[in-house]
Amino acid sequence: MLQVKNLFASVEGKQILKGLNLEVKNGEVHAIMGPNGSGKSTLASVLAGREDYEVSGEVIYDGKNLLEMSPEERAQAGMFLAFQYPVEIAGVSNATFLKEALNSIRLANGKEKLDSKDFLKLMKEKMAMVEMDKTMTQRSVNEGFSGGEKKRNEIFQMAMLEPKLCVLDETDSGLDIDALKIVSHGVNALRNSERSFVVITHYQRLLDYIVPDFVHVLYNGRIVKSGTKELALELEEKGYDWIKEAITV
Amino acid sequence: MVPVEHFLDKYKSLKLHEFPSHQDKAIGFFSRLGFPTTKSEEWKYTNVAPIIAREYANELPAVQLTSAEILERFPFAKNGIRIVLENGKLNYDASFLDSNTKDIEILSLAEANKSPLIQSHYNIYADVQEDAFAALNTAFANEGIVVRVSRGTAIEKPVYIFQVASSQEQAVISHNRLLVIAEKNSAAKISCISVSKNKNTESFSNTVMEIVTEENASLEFDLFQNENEKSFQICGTHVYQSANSVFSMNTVSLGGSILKNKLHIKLDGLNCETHMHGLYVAGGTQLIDNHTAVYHSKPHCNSNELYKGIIGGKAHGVFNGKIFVEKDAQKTNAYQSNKNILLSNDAVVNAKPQLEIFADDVKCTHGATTGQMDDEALFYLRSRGINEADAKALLNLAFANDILNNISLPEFSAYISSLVEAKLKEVAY
Repeated sequence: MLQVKNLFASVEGKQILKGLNLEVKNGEVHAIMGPNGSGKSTLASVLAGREDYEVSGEVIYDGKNLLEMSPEERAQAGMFLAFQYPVEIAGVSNATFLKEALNSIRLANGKEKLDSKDFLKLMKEKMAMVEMDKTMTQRSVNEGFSGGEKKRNEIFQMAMLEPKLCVLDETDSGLDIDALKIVSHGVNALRNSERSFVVITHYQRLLDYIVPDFVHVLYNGRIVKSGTKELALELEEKGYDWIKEAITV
Repeated sequence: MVPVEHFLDKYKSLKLHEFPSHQDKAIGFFSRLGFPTTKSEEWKYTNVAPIIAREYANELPAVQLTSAEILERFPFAKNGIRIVLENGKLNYDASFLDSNTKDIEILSLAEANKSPLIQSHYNIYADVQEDAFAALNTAFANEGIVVRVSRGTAIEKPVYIFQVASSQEQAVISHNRLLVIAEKNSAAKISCISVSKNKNTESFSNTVMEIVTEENASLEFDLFQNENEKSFQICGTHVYQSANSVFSMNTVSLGGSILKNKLHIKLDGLNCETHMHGLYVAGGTQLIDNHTAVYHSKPHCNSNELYKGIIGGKAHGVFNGKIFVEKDAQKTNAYQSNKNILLSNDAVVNAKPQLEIFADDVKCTHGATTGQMDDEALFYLRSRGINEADAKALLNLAFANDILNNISLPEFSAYISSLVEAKLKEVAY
């Protein structure tokens, strides 16, 4: 599904990713953990297609060269990034936004647009899944939403757009336990043998709810250690300094 | 020949109705004032030389539009009263004046000539002595209409006034003159639609509108300006509000090569409420200039203004909003906001709020912003699969909807929205 080979990324002259390697197969859930400044957000941004970075290396997604695709092309090919800080868009309702997005993706994949009736039906179904309030859909995108509501909205969109690869950028930041559970429940409901997840997180706690198949530690722009979910627990116990020491050795 | 004399001489045959007292004085004012130049603060960004330099026909074509043509082009009008003006002249055949009702009275200026309405209101509010174009309109208006909403009545039907400019071989000057009186305790919705007959029409529309809301009256006034690229328009709207009246004006400006709007509102009674919403979308080499002024003369009035502009291509948007609060106008609340989005490197906006406050117990705020589209929002939409062009259109429409949502007539609003959407796509690059 995703092969990241020797990925370098810099912004404003500062090198952040320094040769990152990662491989994600269909149906797998990979967690990426790392201390602040390790490059977590940069990785998410580069995968999503933000133009602020100077990037070199190779990223193959579903057999295609991801780095040459525009943000919308990546989404149309089945990628989804759940933002850490989702932006508010006044004047565009959640419903309008999702309908446009869904239909753009469908059209790009040779499918027909969904008519209003079918779209509403789909929306009701997915809203129930993330326990979303009915009134949310008429409100402007993320406008006046609390942190937890914004994150839930990201997962709701994910449920609606049914992507193949989901990158969650610190989805747990700013969430209390209840919100965390709802968000995790939504993510878990979307897990299947075809769909892959890259869960970027600072804290281990999220991984109690979204149990990963693989855990990688990102430090100083590279993946320095990989393991299974036990690695996350070890990190939680010993802290990131343990990794720093292990590397310098 | 100097433009002023040329105008007086060549176009004096255009006036159809004799209103000597007003017309003679107006000619005097016009001669004294002359056309404004860009040295004048109010016309700093709006050069009227192209308007003056053009040669216009010294006779107006006869009215020709039919009801069918109007309704085909403007289907939303089928459920309302419609007044069709061609180059300022009332086209009775194409209009539907609903004369059987006592709720509303629609008269041509000539018919209303002897009426006390004219004595009390005509030419009282327009700035004939200060503005050359208002003077020119008063001197040469071929006709004009008076709309009176009877006291104590709430008009259910919308009233649509179509101002259609129509030319043949030569360009035309269309002097549109409107007087609206909403009597005590009345309520109505009046919409003005200013268009060109077709894309080949060449015109200069010089429009003066005087609007009075008497005590406790409530009036929603929509102005939709969509003349073609060859047209010029100068439109002055003068509003006088009495105590406890509510006046909402929604101006949507899309068309015209040079379009200048002047909106002056005088709050001359306690507890008035005023809403001014404007949207201007300009592209190509258009100039759209909105100058507004609200005069708070009495206490406890609230005025609220929001104007938004989307400028692309090499177009130029101008916004100048004045708020005057006189010494006795305590407990005034006056809010003004102007927001602009520039879509291209060559697009220009000049925005200037002006406040002159002489009372000491008031709340007044103003703000003007000019920026580009929100890149974060654009990226977010694209990251969900929406193509860049569609995402931009969606964001621009969202920006515009803030204004469009104030037009309460649903069919008319839908009509305007679709034209705004189309214009946004045009000016996107």
